[in-house]
Amino acid sequence: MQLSGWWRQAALALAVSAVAVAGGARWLAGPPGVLVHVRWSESVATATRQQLEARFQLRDGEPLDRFTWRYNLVDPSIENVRALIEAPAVADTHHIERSTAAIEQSAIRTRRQQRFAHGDALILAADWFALVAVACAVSLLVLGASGRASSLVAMPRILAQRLRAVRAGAFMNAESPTAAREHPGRPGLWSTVALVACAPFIIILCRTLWHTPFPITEMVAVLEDVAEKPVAQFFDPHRAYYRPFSRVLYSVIWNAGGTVDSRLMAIRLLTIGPAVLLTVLFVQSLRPRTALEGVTAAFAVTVLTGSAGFLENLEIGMSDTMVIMAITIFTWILLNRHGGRWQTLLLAACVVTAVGFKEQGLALVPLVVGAWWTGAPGANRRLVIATAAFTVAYLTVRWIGSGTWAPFEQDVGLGFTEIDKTAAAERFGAFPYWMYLYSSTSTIANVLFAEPSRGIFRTVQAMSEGRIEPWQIIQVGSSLALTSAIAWWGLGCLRAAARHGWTQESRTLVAFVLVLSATGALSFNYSRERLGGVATVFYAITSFFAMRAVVSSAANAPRRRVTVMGVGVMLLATAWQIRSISTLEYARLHSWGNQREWFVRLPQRRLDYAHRPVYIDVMESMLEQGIDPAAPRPTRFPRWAARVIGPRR
Amino acid sequence: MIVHMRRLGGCEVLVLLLALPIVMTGVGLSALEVWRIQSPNAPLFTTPRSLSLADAIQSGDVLQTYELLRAGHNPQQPIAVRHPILTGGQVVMVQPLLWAVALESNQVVPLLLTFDGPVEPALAAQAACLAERIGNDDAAQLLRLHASISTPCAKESGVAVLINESTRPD
Repeated sequence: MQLSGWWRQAALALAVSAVAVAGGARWLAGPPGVLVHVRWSESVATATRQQLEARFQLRDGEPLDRFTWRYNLVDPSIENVRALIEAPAVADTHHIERSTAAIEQSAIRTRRQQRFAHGDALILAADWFALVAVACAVSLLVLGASGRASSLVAMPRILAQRLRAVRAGAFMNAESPTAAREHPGRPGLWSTVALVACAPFIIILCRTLWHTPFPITEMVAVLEDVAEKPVAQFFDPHRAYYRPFSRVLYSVIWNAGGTVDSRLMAIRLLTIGPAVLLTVLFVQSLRPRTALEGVTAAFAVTVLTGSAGFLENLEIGMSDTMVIMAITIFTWILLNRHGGRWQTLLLAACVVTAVGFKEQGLALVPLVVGAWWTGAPGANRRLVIATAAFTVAYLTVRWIGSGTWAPFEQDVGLGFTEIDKTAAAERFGAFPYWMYLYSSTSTIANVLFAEPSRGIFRTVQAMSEGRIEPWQIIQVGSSLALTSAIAWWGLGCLRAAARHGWTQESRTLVAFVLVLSATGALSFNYSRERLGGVATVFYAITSFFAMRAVVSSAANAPRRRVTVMGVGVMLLATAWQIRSISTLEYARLHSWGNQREWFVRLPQRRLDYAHRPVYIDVMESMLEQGIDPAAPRPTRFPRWAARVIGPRR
Repeated sequence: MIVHMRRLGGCEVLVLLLALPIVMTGVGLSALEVWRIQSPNAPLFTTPRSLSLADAIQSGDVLQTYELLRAGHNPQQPIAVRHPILTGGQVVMVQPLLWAVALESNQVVPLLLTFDGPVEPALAAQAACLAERIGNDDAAQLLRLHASISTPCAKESGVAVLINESTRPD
């Protein structure tokens, strides 16, 4: 590669320094430790054992029985391991290949403490530096290739010009959304404004999730699964919960080596990353061009983040639906732009990936078909045929494997009560289809009206018993009002489509109806808010168009009507803002609950799972993050504020 | 405001009213988070600190109990407790684990069982008997498993007596 132009040299220097710093930090910090079991000979006295522990750098010893101890082997070099297994005082070891003195792949890695106590912190800092350096290098290459590298120098002048232009045209086309769509406007600028408006929420959410302990109840079992089982087993169609891609990804992360902290960090990023990506892609899909659209896009992001379908999928480490939601919005962007064969292949890959993560990904199938039917530029016949063929094959395989499934996989809600899955099977097992229809409808109704939740009409029940809380009124009221606005806009859209053919707006409406129906159908077995996640994305997109139509309708309205509409719009926006704050508090509540479970359930689990050594090892290795006092806790708002923001449960 | 409405036009007014809660929430959340980072122990962000381990156990607050233990309270060391029924209003010295079992603070029991290493089997057995006596089956089962005991407990009467006196297995 010939280097010409300062930006190429700078990019190369950044790339080299990224590799050098990341590699150098690892060399400096030494390898990570590893959890091993050592069985000492019966004749070894305590003092001798302690001397040997110090010699072989075996730390944090924990007795498993009279002679066997679990240790953090800080120095896993072959020389040290060989000396350990050859020591006469050592009767046996676990997690060590005795023939080669190598550590087993399945052994759990611990912190890097061989050379100094905070080796991991050094590597983390080095990795962040490398990441930023690589990002800068890529940016330089992109800017340089497009002939804009010199614009970096001229950045202040360009910004000043932009600001002047913004002041002149902020409300350009605000009173005519159709004209706004046709006019190029300033999509980059108003997308940025919308993202900046949502940035505090996103940053706080990321910070909260970053410190949230993993749940002991499900996560340990999932990691035990991926630590023990070969990857092929995750593709077995006989499993009721079929998430092969998700489990393969966990398996790759967990079995790739590295410390427990680094592996948990990677899994944590699988929740945080898709949530951030979803928000950014969501705004990108709306492409706001004016002040009206910029503000409405920020409102739509609030609808997305304030919905139960978003918050229920924030469970750390269990974010398969959040991944699908990000894939869904990416798919929608691709469907609405012209593209060639590669785009068709990418769209097909999106569908397969979404389904592979969780069955809710099947909601993308009607999305693709609906986009093609309504003339979306990115959808073509080949894509529809390929998607249909994949769906038929997938459903056939799953149907063959469904012989052993119970009629109800989880407890189901009905009316004002929840029915245990066994009782539900006894009651509805002979003909469960009415119950399936009820659960499907409940999920759809929850997306539209925030009620029922888990199939139970909690707000109606609270109202009938005279104990309704303000937060319940806000949630149901804001959903009712917004859904009414969407219905009003939708009817207008359909009328316009009948007269002038499909537009992006009417296509979005069709997509919403299809995805909502599919989401409902896929939750036939039991209704949960999180199952409505994919439909929530389209609910938020349609809220953008609906609110834009509502605000635009005030363009030439009399002053009194504008005043009434203004109050209504502000109340609705305030209610959804409160719901987004509620999402943050829910995330904190969840963190607090997860930590509590570590304290409460740990002893029982140690006893119950004593016969599963991998489970115990994984659990013990996660203990530190489970009881970390820095875990987020709910804000202790004054009572009136707490009643407005509300607990979810 | 009316003057502005005349000048701005309906659409702009609605945009501003729509933007207002978004901006206010953004500013409010940012301010709250900065405060949380700067003063994590402010009353808004932490539960009111219990004065004693006995209080924390009595309120069933697992995290508070944990923090007191981390601060240096010994979970094996007897604490002074008083309860109108359980101790007849008298101050009694009792092991934290027994106090948690007596109050049926079942979420605190597992924490006290394992904090800083496993609790002595004799104490776990004593607590298991107490739990059995007051009908706290969940705690009794956990404690029995923990202490690896299968023998029945001695017959006693009255909860206050159970706390004050030893209830070792037969």
